[in-house]
Amino acid sequence: MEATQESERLEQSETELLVAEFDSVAIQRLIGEVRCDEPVLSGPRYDRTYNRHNR
Amino acid sequence: MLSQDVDTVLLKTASRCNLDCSYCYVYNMGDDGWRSQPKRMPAEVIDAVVEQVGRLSHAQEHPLSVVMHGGEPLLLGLPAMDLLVGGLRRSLRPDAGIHVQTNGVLLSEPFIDLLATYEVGISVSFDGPVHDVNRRDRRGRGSHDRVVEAIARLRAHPEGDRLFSGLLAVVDPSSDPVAVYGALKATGAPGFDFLYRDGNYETLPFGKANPKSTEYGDWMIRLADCYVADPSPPRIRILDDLMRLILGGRGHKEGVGLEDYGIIVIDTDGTVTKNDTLKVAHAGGDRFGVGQKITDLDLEAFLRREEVSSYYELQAPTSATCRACPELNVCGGGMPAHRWSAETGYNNPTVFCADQMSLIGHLRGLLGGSGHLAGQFGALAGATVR
Repeated sequence: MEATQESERLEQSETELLVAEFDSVAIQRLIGEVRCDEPVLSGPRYDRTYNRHNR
Repeated sequence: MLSQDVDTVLLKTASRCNLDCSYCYVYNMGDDGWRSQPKRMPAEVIDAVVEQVGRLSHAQEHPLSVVMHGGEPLLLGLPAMDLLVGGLRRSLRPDAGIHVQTNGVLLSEPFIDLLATYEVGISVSFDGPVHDVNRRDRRGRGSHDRVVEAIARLRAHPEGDRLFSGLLAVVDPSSDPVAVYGALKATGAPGFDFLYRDGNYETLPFGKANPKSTEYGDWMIRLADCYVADPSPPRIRILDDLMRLILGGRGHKEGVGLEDYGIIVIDTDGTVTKNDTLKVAHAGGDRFGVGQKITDLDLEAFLRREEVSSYYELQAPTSATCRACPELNVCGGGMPAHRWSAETGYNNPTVFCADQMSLIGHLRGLLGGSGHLAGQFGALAGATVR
């Protein structure tokens, strides 16, 4: 359990370091989303509205 | 067992439109199937949609979204819209989304109140400074000012910011992307998406000199530079999707990436069809072999048919060029409608292939070079990154 928490903490800090490499807000938030693997229906509102349909 | 969960049910609540946009794929790309449709979705079709789509949402593993579309969906009128969205909200599982994609002209206070009552997300079509070039009504009058007023009305509503999902714009490659970005952002919308003008190898998209030219890629590159430099950027769905895929994440929309999707359309008369964008390929390209109406079929049984599986498989690009392309995981081969040629059907790269390669290469540069970040994410996130 403790090992898992430690691993998660390390991953978190590595992600924060990676985000810090970029000064672009648009890129920083994408990095956060990819890290979380956010599903469409809990994602940004614009994705929920259009869902898959490209129109 | 369905071959693919449905993630989007598109409802053609009205088959006509109060605008006559020059680039519209429904009315101005050679398919005139709308002429045989009733103007508005009849009550018996609404009842069947409420019952069958509600049942489907409970039967499948993943949640789905219902998107009201047209024509102009608000032409359905307030009473029928109340029946439809009220019924759907009761029949759908709680995590299902209901949304409307409107041109905004009819987005009155009573409509916004109704949509707020049933938690219906609202997206508005708006092209910014070039809006009136193409988005005119049947008397030739531009709709820009009416749409800007509607967006302001929506934002002023007590529930407006919660309901307002974003803007949908169509790229005019002769316009200034920085000015378009500024105009869309000035509306206060939380996000935008950009569509390319439709076309294929038979009819090239507007502004594209030949399949190897990069007018759309060049435009998007300038937009992307503006987007990543903005200290308070709204969301841009197509750019977010491409960059997410480059980073090793997942795309959310059809036409990019290789994830399977499940889109079905219910036409105004209740006929269940394939993705309506296939009209762009050729007239009737969105139709199943045997037309069946939602009032006469069992939707879950219909979705198990071989013909539906074949339709879903159409998304995967088949051309040898695509299969050998190092950017296939990001590009995804584009929308099937844009791959069409009379000689080889859908067995081609998208007609925007050169544009996409140029854009993806540029985005890779913005993200620090090919593979740099994706590699780090692979190590960081393990199985959660696809």
